[in-house]
Amino acid sequence: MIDVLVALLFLLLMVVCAVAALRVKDLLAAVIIFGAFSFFSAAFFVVQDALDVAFTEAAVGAVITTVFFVCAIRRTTPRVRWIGRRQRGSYYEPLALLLLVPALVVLLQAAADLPPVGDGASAPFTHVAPYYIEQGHEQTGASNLVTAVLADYRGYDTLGELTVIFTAGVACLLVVSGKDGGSPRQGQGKGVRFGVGSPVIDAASRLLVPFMWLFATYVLVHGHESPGGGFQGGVILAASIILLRLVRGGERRSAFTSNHALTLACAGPLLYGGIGVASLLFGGNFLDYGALPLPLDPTEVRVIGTLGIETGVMVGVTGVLVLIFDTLASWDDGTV
Amino acid sequence: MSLIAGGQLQYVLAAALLLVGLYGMLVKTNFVRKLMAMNVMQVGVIVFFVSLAVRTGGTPPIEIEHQAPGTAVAYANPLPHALMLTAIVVSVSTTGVALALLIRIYRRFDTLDEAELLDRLRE
Repeated sequence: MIDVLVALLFLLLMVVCAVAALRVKDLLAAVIIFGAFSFFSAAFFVVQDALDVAFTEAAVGAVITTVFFVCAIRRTTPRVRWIGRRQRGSYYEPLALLLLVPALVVLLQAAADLPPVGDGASAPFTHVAPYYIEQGHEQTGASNLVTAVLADYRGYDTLGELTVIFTAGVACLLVVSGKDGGSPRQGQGKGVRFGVGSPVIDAASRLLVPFMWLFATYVLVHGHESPGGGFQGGVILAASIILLRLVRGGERRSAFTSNHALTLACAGPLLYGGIGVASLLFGGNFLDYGALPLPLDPTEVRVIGTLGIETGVMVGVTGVLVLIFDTLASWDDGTV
Repeated sequence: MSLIAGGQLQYVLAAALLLVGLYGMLVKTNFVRKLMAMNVMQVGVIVFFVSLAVRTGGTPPIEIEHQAPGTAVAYANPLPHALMLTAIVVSVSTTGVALALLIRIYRRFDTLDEAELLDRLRE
């Protein structure tokens, strides 16, 4: 009972944060409130037993998304205009509210027809879900059933998602490289000024980064037994690189350039697809890791295969996120 | 319309998130704000899926090793978790693309306000 109430409390806080983020006048403040919104949603996912989702949301929503938004706002909105003007609000808002009423009625009607939350006999728990829960550990060797579903049973889906992420990175590059971005104000928007110049922050972040890398590796390798995996590890790795860029200066002053990030972004899906094709060559189905000729137990071979594709996911996610950060943060001095 | 039972309150709040996001996308004139509203909608959908995966008295879907035979542990449903996990990472990449497009719009038209942009497009 108590966890139901806690879940509802966190959901309520999320709604409050969402409304506040949309209403507060200062855009930068809105972004920070939006980060709090992500944090509360991560807490909500923990209460709902969705540890992997919470892990991802905490790393992505509360960290990376906030950094992306701040970069974009710094690039686009002069300080005096952060405070938005209300122009058409007067007649627009009642109309929109009126439109929302039928939507609300339909959604409430649908909610009343759904099974109550926590019903273990409802439709989502039938068909494949009990099979995954009962057979997952034996067949894939992964105690973490989310990893079993993500990387083994639904390997095709995950390959598709990784391709979408890769496409997003390439799309960012294409948006940047177009020629007709002629600005009326050439002097403005030369990229976000990096580096805070404080030796304390510099030293602290440099101290932190090796541990972040260690943690990312642990999250990847231990994703079979505990919450974690390629997506979370990749996001943590990208966060460490972005941290260094924010504190020590942009892409130019880093040994890890945008081109390296692009290479990683390409290598990830390639590794994933390569393992799929390799299992095809050794007589299995596409992404059927059990067919790989390794001198190990069949389950262990599957674990190795899963680890391989999770590594591909991690490398790809790291590359794409750093690439997107570079394109958002530095427009003119980006060479890619 | 049948009444909402206590076990369905979560769905109502997920619907509230969805509607708050929709309202923001309709009403807000600043494109950054619209994008934020779109993300709120997205989280509403994710909350809905995760709510479907909950099992009362269940544990996170990580198998407890060496459990006594016959004591079946009720796990939450891992399938929606796996789907939503990837959805979150995809959403951050698409948000990045949207922000890159916004920066480009700003450099071309010097505004991110919907009304001003429409005025400049007409010029």
